[in-house]
Amino acid sequence: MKRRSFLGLMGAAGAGLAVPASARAGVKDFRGFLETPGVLFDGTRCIGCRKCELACNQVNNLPEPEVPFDNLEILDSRRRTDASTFTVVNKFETANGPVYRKNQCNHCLEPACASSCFVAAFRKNTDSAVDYDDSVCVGCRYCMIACPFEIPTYEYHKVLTPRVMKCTLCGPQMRAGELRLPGCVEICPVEAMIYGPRNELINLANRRFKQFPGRYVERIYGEHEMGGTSWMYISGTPFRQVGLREDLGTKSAPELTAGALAAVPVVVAVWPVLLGGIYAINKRKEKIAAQEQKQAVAAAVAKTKEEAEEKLATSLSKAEEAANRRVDNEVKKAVKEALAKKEEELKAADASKPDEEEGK
Amino acid sequence: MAYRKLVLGLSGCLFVLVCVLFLQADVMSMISSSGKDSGRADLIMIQAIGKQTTKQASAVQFFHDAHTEALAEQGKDCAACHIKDDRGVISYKYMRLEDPSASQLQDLYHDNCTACHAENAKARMANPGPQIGECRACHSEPRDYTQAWVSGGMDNMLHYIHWDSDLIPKDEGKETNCGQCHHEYDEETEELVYVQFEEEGCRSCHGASPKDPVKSNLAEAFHGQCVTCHLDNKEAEAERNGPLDCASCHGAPQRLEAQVRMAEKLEEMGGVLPRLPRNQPDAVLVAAKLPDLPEDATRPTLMYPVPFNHELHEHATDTCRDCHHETLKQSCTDCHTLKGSEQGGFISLERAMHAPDSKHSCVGCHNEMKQDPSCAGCHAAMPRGTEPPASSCAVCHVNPNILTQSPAERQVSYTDFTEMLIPAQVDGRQPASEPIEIPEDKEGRMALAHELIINLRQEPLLIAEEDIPDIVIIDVLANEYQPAELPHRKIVMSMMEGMQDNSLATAFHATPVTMCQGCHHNSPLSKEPPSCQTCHDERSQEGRLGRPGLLAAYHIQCMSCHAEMGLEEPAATDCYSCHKQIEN
Repeated sequence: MKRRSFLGLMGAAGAGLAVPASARAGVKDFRGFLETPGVLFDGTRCIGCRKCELACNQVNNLPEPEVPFDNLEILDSRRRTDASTFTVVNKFETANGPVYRKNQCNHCLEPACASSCFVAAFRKNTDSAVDYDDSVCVGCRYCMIACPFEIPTYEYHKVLTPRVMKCTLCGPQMRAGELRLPGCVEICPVEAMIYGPRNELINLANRRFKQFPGRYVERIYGEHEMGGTSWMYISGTPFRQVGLREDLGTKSAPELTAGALAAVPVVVAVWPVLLGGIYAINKRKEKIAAQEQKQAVAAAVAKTKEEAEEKLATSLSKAEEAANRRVDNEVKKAVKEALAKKEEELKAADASKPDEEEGK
Repeated sequence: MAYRKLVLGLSGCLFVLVCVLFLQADVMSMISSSGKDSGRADLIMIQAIGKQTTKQASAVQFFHDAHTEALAEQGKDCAACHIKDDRGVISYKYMRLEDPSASQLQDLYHDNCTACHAENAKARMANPGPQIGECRACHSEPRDYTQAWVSGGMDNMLHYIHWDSDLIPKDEGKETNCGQCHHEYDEETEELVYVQFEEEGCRSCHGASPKDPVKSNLAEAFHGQCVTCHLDNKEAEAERNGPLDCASCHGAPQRLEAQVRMAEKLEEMGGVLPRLPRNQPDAVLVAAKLPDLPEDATRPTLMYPVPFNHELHEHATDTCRDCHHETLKQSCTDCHTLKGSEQGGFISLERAMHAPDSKHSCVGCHNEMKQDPSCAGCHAAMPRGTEPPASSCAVCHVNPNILTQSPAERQVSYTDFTEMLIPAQVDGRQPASEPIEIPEDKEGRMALAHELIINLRQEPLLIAEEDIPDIVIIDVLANEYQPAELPHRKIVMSMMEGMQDNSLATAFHATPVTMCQGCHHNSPLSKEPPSCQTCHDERSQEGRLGRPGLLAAYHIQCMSCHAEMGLEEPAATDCYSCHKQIEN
């Protein structure tokens, strides 16, 4: 390939790749809506009484559980949320005795479930709750795969109208004025959870770190995780030990996928254009070459023809010349002969003239 | 055709490039976590390559205790692998006193290790150890174990076992045996000598790397000193010889066991260790050293001196090093001056004494003491700020003039800490004479401190039993349970009992109702503090973020206190032990 055409191709490729890069730069360092409410869970306060599970069950009219809520032996096994349990408390054994942590939807500031849902069944509400609309849900369960906290669950037992189920932050009840606080927050006998503006919760947590040095891992889980969550945790034991993933990073799901999604045009649009372009360029080149060849042949033929014609013309003219010359010669010869004949006749006449003159 | 190949190749390259760009977004990358906790105290990495410039073989994971044990079974001891110097001190290093070059070191290990293993094989031992040619048996990639050892510190009890021991010979012409371990370098004679009552901790000379004239670093000094003596005792078939393995001193579980054993021994001895025979003072007057000031300079504001009960604190610490962190031969104020000096790491005297989170400072250590279960019930719930409360200054900083006052005059207001300052002159100039006379000489200061200490309160200030409400009824949850009956007097009495012998509580609980603050916090000191409802209401959390509502206030206070004090009954989640079910 020629250097020029190679550079041209690379330029085209560069222009194509520049699309996701610029799209990525478009995502600002978003820190979430500070004024919106959230919940702070203090792991050093939770006593594992399961009252929050009870309240959640009652507020959301969920079916009665197999194990009653005053049975604390269930804490010995690790549980996760399911379609009829929006929140669970798990017990974690540590060197300093058992530690409890409540698990439920963290209501991410930029939820992965919402960004993965192609029918927009999930929506982050202004009161921080991530709402779910079962009327548009197609049951693809991308949300379940997208959620890094493994929260959304599915009503597998329902054949016709299965829904994705998860904690609602009691958004519907609070909007309707039935509740002033999320059910679990309200019932907690030790106020292990506090509901309030997110920025004030962060300040409160930092104040506790300062007032009780050594009691906490001095970090707020959820302040930045996955771009920040409305539900946040502070703990006396490392977060990993109480089942919180510490490998999630601080970028939100949409931010993480924005680069990849912005690259889709590269594949879908730019790629065919690019390959098509390369094909077209090559095609055109071939065409031009063929054309040029044709032209050259034509030129050559024309030239030969011209030459032949010229030659013919020359030969013809020469032949004509020769013929003319021969005719001339013949004419001259005939004229000469005629003249000689005439002279002889004249001579003969001269001889007979006196006869004639005499005869005159 | 040639172009088609090129286009394919180019597309391939671009595809890979795009893939890399995708991956760069970190979507896929996850941090894997795997923890190894099979730590061994006796794991030594033999790494002659530390001196080599190129890697030749994997470092050898050597289990020291496994070898010590195996040798003991054959009737051999440390001398099988370690040699002694001309003073009879055993070398910390394998088969050598000093480190030779890397290649010589390599030969030293190869020759001696394999020679011993070959002998073992000849003697038809079950496990003779790797033989010549089995390179990878030693030079293997790291196995499942990690090196984990704790510092084998000499605490007071261990120290006592040594200086009280009859097995360690007495110093010449003395009743003590301190000179058997403690030594000093005499620059004139260039020898190690023992000077009685001038004993220092090992660390004051032997650091991580020895500084001239000190020859050995801390590890070498300890191992040379301790192991040599233990070995000598063993050879002399003494009654006890002390440990010769790694784990006994450096293994975390073994140390814990030893601590339990020693605690039992201390219990047998009546809970009090005899004082060290070093002629240390009983009492010390801690006062800032005034810098040399020009005549007309303003004298800096000073606190009254602190009469420090040295004897009491000796029993309360693990080692002298807890407070005397560098040396025993200087006073705190030599390095920690009012403004801080280079020698004292620019830590001012005020910080050195009051830093709340330092192990060496008074306040830091007292904060640690509050974690004792009998204290933690109240103190763990109290916010611990960066500074001690101003009202507590007077507990330590005592005006010596009180000695001339009658007991009635001595009543100080504990709320006004400014009284504890040595007043500067009104116009801010240096006064003609100091308001108090602090003796210059050591004995005089000691005597004054002693006198002040005697005048301190010896008995805790406790509220009279009849002033304590007996039963308090809490009926916040009366609609769900029967009202809870709080045995208020019983609780207070048991807490006062726990305080009885606690000198720290005696000193710092400045009034009879100070201890009531454990529950009745943030309210003025009074026999009749306001009820919990005054501050903790039943409204929604909004508007009082961070201040618990009444329900949570009760639960947090009661449950955290029970947890911190280690009370098993009632358990935090046993609702019914406080809340009796409503009878139908």
